[in-house]
Amino acid sequence: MRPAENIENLIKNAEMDTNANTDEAVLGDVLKAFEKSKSKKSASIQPNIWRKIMKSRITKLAAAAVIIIAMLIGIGHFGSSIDGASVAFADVVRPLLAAETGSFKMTIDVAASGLDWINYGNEPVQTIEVVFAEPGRTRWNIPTGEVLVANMQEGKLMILIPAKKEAAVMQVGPPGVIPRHNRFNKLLALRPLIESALETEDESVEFLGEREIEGLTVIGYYVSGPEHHGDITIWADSETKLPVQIEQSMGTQTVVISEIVYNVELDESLFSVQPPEEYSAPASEEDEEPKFVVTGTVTDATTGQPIAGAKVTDDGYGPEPYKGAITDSEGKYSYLTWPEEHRIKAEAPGYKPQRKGITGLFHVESEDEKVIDFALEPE
Amino acid sequence: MIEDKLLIWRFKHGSADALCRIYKKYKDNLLRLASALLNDTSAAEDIVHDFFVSFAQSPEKLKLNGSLKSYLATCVANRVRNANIARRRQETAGLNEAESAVSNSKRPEQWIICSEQLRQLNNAFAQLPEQQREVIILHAQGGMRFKAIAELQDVSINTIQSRYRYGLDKLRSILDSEAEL
Repeated sequence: MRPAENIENLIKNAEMDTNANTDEAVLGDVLKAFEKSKSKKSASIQPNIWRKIMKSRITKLAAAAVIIIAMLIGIGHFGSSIDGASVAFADVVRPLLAAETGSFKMTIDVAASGLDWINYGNEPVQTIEVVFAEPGRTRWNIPTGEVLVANMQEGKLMILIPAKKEAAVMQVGPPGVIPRHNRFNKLLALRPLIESALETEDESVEFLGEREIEGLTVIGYYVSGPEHHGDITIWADSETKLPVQIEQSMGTQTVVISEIVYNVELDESLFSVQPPEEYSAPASEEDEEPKFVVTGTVTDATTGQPIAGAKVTDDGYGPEPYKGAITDSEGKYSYLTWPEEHRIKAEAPGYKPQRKGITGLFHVESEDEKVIDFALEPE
Repeated sequence: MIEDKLLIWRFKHGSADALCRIYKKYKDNLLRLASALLNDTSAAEDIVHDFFVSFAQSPEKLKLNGSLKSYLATCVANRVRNANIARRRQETAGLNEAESAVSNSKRPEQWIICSEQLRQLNNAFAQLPEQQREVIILHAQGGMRFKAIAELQDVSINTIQSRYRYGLDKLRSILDSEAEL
């Protein structure tokens, strides 16, 4: 055994592997717990339109009066204002649902939203300028200087911190796949809520009448959302019917979306996820040159004979094109990939594909090669 | 690290992928940490398993001031301490239970695959006084700053620094003497 000269290195790097099956099994438990906690949360937020009505309008009316009003809203035919409202709601929200590009201001409590990479100083409530271009591209310009660009066409997220000349780019999904729930575009994220409200308008949409916001006369709608979406209040310009301000309460927080402009001309470069040259990007693992050798042999599971021309590739996460190789006449393959966990898949015509995982700690200095052999079962 | 901050943000906003990444990024580190602190592989596995499940259950409770790595190390260190307290209590009460830690999680197979090197190291750690062991592992393995460890152990930074120095010296001599065998 070696004498412990550099103890600290030994402590950090002493070899430890983990059982891949157990890794997966534990991860399975963890994800189950996560999903369970999410569904519990959504079940507990019950939008209650009656509570809102009680609070804002009716403080001392008897129960009978409450029931009458409930009937009015439920039926939706009494009183011209309510009638007019239910016709107009669909018109009002149409531009929200149709906009391909746009800009708006989003006022949120940055600290409460967990956006603590924003240097908000003593002002946790920030008004962020957002521009977006569908599909899947959003940019935030934060008054404190930071910028966030989410580009789902490339599956990447970029954060710029000019004060530190730092940039971080992260692969958050496979390129070209636009997630249904738009996490970064609070305006478009309302679309599912609005679409479902359109279908259940009588129960979920309440007309609030006219008001003045910043010298502009607006009409308002209170939309209560099913399950996990917070209720929203939409204010639209009473002349043009264009929504100009939306408030959404999520738990104890309120997000205000204002100065909404639809279908603006935007430069593509606004959504680039390439950091500016002077910025130091902490090299993400995907950007480094792959140095890790994976090699092995692919054989037929029944005969033991090597399979030439089999394709072995990384089957994992990370940017495409996936690294891989084709086996030679002796069934051998070898290629370079990045030193992180992922699956490797071997496939050949006439055989069932096989997947194996590379797991555990490895350091490129001490272990330059990983051998993974496959024995494929015929189909 | 911005990357960790992004991961946390995404996790808190419901991203299972971010949770996966956090798990994959830090599980080995935490397994090492726990197994070195306890010198009991299966108890260490239980602790890390239970920790991750609990972590996944309440993203909204997560409030990170420093580094994620340090936060996770602190959580696991606390769980180890609780496990040790429970174990000592059982011993003084004269109970003779085969399993000291009751884990809620069942794993099909063994998780940690110890190398001889690691086994030796953990055995050497077991011969250190508990406080010294904790300081060395949390700092050298868990990446925690002395200040954070001082808060955890509720002593001054100077004390932590000397525990670290003495502990390393002792560790070195234990390993050297074993090497000479």
